[in-house]
Amino acid sequence: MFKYLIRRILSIIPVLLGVSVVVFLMVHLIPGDPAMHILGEFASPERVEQLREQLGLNDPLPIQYLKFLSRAVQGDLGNSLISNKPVVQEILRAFPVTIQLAFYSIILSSLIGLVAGVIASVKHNTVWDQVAMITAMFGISTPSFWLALILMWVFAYTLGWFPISGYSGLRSLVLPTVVLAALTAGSIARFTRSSMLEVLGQDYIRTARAKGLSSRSVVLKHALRNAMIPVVTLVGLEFGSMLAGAIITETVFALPGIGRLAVTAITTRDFPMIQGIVLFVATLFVITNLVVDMVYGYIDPRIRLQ
Amino acid sequence: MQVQARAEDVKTKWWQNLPLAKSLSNRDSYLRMTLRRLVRNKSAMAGLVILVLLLLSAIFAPQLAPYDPLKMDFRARLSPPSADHWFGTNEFGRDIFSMILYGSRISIMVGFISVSFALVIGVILGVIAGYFDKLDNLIMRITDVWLAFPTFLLAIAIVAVLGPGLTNAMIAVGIASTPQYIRVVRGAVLSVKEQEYIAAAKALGATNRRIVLNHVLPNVVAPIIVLSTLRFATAILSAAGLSFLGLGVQPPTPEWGAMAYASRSYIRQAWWLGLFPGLAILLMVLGFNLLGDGLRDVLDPRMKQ
Repeated sequence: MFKYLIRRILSIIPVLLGVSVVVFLMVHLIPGDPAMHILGEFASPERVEQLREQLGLNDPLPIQYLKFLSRAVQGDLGNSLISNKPVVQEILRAFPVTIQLAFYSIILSSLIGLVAGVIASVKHNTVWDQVAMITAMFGISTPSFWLALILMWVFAYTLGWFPISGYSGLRSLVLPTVVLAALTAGSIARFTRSSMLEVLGQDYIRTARAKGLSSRSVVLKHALRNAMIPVVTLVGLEFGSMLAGAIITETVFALPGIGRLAVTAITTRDFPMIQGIVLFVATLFVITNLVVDMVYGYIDPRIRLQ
Repeated sequence: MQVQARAEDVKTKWWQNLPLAKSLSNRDSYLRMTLRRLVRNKSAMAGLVILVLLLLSAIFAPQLAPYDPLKMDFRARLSPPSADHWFGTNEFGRDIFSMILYGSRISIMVGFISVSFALVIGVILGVIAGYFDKLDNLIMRITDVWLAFPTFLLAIAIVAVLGPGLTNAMIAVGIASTPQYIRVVRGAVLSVKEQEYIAAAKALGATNRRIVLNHVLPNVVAPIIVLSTLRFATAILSAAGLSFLGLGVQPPTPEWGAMAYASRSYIRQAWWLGLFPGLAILLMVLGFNLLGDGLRDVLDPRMKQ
């Protein structure tokens, strides 16, 4: 197990280096002079030169990258071109909102998804199964902004139960949580169902039934535990992408999280900010996946041997 | 059954025993069998019906639309759904129903172009990685980095670099969905490569190019078709999401995501502005997901998640 852990942890280093190269090159992939692009056509030459200096664009490319990397490792991602504050500071200020939202959403969606998936698999090919799967299909096909707009219109404008937008405590997270959870619950339910159906067809389930165990005990103790293994992976991955900022949901509800920060940075061409967010989020995503992998290795020893 | 088959053998013409004719007729019966299973698959048929209807509405939009989608009518601005305007009108008095009919053209095009982009690059890299051991490691390390970016974040980062707009949105969505193709195609190629007919082709002295084009590619088509159908759904959602953030198609182009974007300012007065474009996206994405699910059951039972 220890060897497996070390191997997995070391394996993310080249990935993170690759991520840093891509993020670094983002600015250089802008067609034309990045400084000119950021400031607009009518910027004065002095201002352009000043920005080139600030972004370090005058050094040779490899030197620029090494500087970028060594600063990034020390937690310095440069300053925002708009607010002039350190990018890291702005990201860390937005992060609590995003992580709360992701946390509540993943719990709600796992609850709904697991219950629906287990019922669908136990009542395979019945009305229950069909209703659950059709609902789940709608869940994965619904555009998040649409669901967000509808819920906002019904519960915030018409009924006035929740604040319309902005962040003012837990109440303002209710609708965004429901939006994110509704969409994710669909894929968790589908995944749980197919995983359960596979396990329920195994010999040891037949043995358990033959021993005369109650149906409840067979489903909950023998089947669900084993069926959960791949589901844990999916839940972990979904959590990871929620941390990436529920970009659209945060924008609709004007929640000051990472996703909204990213959209604002893009519309204002705040490149250090965009780079910082992409680097931060991708790193977080890679680490979440690593943790998921480790949990997976822990609960299913077969994985470690591969 | 056996006896019958033998009796038929006698009746076959000499040319039907030639290798080429045999392989063609085998393929033909496989195709027919697959089609028969597909027709019996409820999910696939439901998806197909939805998509055919949407495709027809896209093709015949000029005939079906009651109004010119860009024509402004200030006397009728923000009017709710009525007999004159089935889905109401927007802040410029444009007819929402007509805009949605025309919008299906854009969504189908966006899905088609971004999926084709991902498909071509993904299949090329996936086949190379799966078939040529030397390049496998390099390509897969690149794919790992590619996958380290959450899909939608990658798409908006690309738009940040290239600038907003329809073409860039399609490129961004295409690039963001490429690594999934590399993985699936590589996996399929790796398993095909171990088959005896590949060894036989090699023993006969076939070139790599010939083996890849004639023996490997035809046998990895099934997973590619399934993946493409499902990616179509995701691509349409992502592109609409980009437009909704103001980073994709710009108004007044009648694109569904952009229409929902424009509706945000009028959410208090005019619920119909956002409701109908969203429903249209939902319907199209649902169609592709249903068809993709059905195709997966029929073509490739092992690919079930």
